[in-house]
Amino acid sequence: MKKRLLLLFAAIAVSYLLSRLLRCKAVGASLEPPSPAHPLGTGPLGRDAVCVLAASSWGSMQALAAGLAAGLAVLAAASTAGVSRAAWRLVASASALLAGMPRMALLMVLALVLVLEPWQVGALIGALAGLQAARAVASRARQLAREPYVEAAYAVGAGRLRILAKHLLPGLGSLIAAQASLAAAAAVYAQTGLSMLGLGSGAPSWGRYMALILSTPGAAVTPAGLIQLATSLALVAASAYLVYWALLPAEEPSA
Amino acid sequence: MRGRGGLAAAAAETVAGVLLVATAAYLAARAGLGNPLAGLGESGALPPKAVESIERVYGLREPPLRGLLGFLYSLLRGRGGPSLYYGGANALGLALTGLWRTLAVMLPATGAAAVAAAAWSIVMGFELPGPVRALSFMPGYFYAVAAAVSSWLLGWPPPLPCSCLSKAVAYFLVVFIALWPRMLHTLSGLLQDALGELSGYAAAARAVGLGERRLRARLVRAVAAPFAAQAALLAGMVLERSAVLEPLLGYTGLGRLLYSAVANADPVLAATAFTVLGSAAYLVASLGRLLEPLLDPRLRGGEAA
Repeated sequence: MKKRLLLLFAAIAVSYLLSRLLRCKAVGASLEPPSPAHPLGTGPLGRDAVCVLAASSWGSMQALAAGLAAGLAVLAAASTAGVSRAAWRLVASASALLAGMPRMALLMVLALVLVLEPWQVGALIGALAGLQAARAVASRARQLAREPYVEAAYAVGAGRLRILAKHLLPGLGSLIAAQASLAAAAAVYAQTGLSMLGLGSGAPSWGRYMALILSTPGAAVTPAGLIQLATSLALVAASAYLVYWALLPAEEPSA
Repeated sequence: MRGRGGLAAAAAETVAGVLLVATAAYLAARAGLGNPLAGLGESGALPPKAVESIERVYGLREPPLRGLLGFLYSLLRGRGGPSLYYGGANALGLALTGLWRTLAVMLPATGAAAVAAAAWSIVMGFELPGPVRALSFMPGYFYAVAAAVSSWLLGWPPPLPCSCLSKAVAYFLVVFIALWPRMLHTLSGLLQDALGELSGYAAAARAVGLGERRLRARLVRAVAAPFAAQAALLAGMVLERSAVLEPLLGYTGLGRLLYSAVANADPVLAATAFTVLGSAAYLVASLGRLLEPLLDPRLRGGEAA
């Protein structure tokens, strides 16, 4: 699992470096079909599509990373329900109230008044998706807190923080990891959906590139446009799967 | 959800959710950065009557809390304020028409996906194939992009935005294809749990010669109530995703209305459409939880299962 996590972080770091290093300039006519020089053809602005997709990856990976971080933070906070009744009540009410919040519609309304960067979209969606799963994590934490070994730890004078860190979090690790990976996937999907519609900050991302193809008349029906659209969607799905794969508990059979 | 107390809690959660959505919509329209309502009428594009009407509906000359209460009261009275983009039409009327168009496609598609998932489970068994599991995590807009490309490439559905039959059929197919694997994933989980609980019943049924398909049909019937609740949750999710699916497909439902309100900087319509969409999503999702104890005799009358 550690190697997989390292690969995930490496992918995020590489996408950042690519966004800094690559400067994609027009190399030919608009929407040229794939060729050995340009394997995915050229985009609507005549730039090499491979270059543009590589340079745009950082926007999507930002959303992914922010969604993962926000999901992990919310779920880790939910695990405190195992040692605090007040935390349980807070998690239960927040989860009941906010889990049903229409996320995409909320992002759209916020786009009316805020310029949302990819990481902000990711963090918001990751937190809301984390809240959706928070109740399950909190319930499991309360179950674990009633186990004899936890009661024994209380009996010998262990504090709440120690019980949380030593006894609850290790038992909740796989559940938190699975739910956080779903939160990260939701974040990158939402960011792509929002930027595909031309909303958000306009920072380069795979969704923004799809918006460019979809809004250029005739682009989506050319071979180059079709291949680039399909590749962008595949990259988005692959990035969501990457998080799931990286956080997959070691004991589970790999998919 | 157990008994009357559970029903009351679900109803309270729904009301709280609707209030939360309305508050978020109101605040986004009124107090967001740049305050899009601040310069109303300065350009001269809006007649003074429209400006006055918007100010009254949004309580712009009152403190925020009082303004919010006024906004909610206006919505309850059927006034959503005049839409800036749609020539002063009642925003609530536009949103409710859009909601009707969206529900007219979304509810049958959800029902068809649930029936297809149940039929698959009965015929093919409870094990979820790997590709179906992978597909259950795909967002619906992947299929909406394919439909948009098809409309340009093949001419079907027609490229121009409308709520015509061919667009409705395309939207139905997109929702069905996106939702069916997720329904199957949910049903499969419920059936695996039921199979554990009802293993004695299953063994006895096999012993008296009941065929596998008939046994699976009975198990599907046993989990029908919780499955209906889960299906309603998924329907609520699809409803909120309409904000992305409909603009891509060009189907003129509530989702596209919200998108065009945001894209054309119409805060009045955006706030009203978001409130209607969010409230409907909460209500649809709650419906399942409210219905589950009524449908399932094991949960009826507060008898905990």
